[in-house]
Amino acid sequence: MWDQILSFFSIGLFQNTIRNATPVILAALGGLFTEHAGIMNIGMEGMILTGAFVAVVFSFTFASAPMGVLFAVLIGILIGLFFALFVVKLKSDEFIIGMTLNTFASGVTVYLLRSVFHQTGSWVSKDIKGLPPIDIPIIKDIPFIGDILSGYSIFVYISWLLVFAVWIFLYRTPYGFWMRASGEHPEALETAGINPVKMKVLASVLCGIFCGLAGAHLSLGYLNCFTEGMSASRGFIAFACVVFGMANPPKVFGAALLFGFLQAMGIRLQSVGIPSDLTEAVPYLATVLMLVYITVRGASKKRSRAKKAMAVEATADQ
Amino acid sequence: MKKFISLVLAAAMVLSMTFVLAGCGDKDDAGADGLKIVGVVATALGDKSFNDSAKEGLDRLKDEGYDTSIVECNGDSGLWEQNLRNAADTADMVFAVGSELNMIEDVAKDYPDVKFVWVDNVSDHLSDYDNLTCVSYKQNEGSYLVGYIAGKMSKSGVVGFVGGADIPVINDFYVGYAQGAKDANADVKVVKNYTGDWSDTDKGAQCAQDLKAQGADIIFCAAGGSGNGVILKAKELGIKAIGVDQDQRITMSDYADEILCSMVKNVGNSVVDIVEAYAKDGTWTGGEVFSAGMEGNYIGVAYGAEDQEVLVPQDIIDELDQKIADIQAGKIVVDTVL
Repeated sequence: MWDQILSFFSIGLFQNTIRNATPVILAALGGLFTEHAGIMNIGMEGMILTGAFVAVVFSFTFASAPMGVLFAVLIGILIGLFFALFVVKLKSDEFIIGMTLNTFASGVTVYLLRSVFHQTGSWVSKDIKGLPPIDIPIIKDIPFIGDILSGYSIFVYISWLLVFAVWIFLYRTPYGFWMRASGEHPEALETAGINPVKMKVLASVLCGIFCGLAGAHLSLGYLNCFTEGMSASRGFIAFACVVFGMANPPKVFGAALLFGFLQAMGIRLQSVGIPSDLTEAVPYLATVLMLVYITVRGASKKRSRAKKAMAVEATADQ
Repeated sequence: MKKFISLVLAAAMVLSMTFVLAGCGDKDDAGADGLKIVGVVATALGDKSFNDSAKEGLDRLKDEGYDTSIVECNGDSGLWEQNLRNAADTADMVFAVGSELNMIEDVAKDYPDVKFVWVDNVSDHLSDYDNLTCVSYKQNEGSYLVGYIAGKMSKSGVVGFVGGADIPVINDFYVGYAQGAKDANADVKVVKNYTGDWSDTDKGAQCAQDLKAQGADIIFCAAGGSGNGVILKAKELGIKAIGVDQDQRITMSDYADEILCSMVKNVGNSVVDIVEAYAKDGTWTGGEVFSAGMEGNYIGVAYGAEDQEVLVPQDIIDELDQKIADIQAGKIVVDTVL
């Protein structure tokens, strides 16, 4: 029995957890900025997909992975500016623009893939250079842990560092403070002499950059290929993680890891004889349960806070 | 005013999308006397296996002067019936490519003058429809052959199978594969899992990693485009893959060193043969199953292009020829779930 349980938690399970989580972490960190700036950004899916496509195109053209990443970031900035132009400047509906971005990205990548590069379905070539895996000295020699923590592309480690960087930016710098204020109290920010529009544009551009990185990691970090629709709802999962983590970087990181773990477990559960139709539902089932938990906890907190307030009022009346 | 401009711009983007999509599914006007054939693909082209094999057949027909076109549904189940009906509105013959398209009977009933061919599945009341024929492949026999190769060549004594979904057609691959592997080596263990997806290569790669963790060193991927993830990941895991449907050593030639061989399910050949039999001699197997096996070259094993080094040892290939003869003579009966 113990042997079975131990063999279930194999190295591959944890490797796949990190593999599933990393693009979601990167995108969710981007989504944090827009969430704090008061923009509901469901366009991350399209941003990731475009980033993945552009990264492959330029990695192929220049035969260099860093060039692919660079252009993925550049296109991320462009999309971020584009998103900000509509949502912040022109004040159009963020939901519609987000959906438009997603549909447009899925159409235009397929179109360019087929008409310009003459590939259908997936683009597989030895000329698409991927990001080399990095072995961390010392850690890589520790059994089990070394296999789990070492040997990924650089983005995996960057994403971990970025969690701290984003936290510091948001909670320990004036820019972060202004960005949060631009979402919560734009009028107050304006009174303080800071333009909230500028902060919202900055949030949108940062989100574009992070999603571009997520896309580049998706296409160049593992298999070095582009597949039509390869973002496969990761943008929406990232959005869910932002909501779960209440837009707090470490919590969002935890949510993304949890989701990655559940997805990896879905495949692993098949090996102990659970039907695949059921295992595919595991991550989504867990999402619903988590959502219920958060809502219920939020409601009970509110209730206890209301009770306390009533008690305070009662004592004041006496 | 600003809102108006943004609305117009957004509308323009959405419209341009529609044109892009429409462009993919363009239908030409019927030729003067040529048969007009439309293929409706349940998922999408570009899997470098099953769907692309069907497309290759339709392309061959186009070169011979038939008027062919192809419509993709991109796995959107809401489009399946609609696209089948749209195709039937203009075509003389409709190929429904994909075992998912089980609304074919309803459509066939409403278009008695159009010939329907359902590729890769058999409908429940087939004999009631003389304008419908179903193509069923003996993938179990082909899978037996590659299973035999895997069983012979596996060093770890464990061989793996990655399927696209837990459905009868895919399990038909599995039972044949498992039987072949056991015949080659009675001690061999067969492990399997399913990607639950036909295009996400990353899922295939994760399934391969999971099977490798269970000891598999040769993995047969019957999962369309998502199975290609097994091939892409093979070098890193130190395993060998077996391709499916098309000769994947040719369709993914950059990764030929990772592919031992491919089990060919030549959808294209069956498409061409059905159309030509109907157009030339008026032969039409309405209400019957068109059973595509090793006779007629619908099912087989491919070892790559002529200039590629064959990765399977010659003595195993010789043994395989004997197995093929045995299957055709009925000496070996391969299990099936269909």
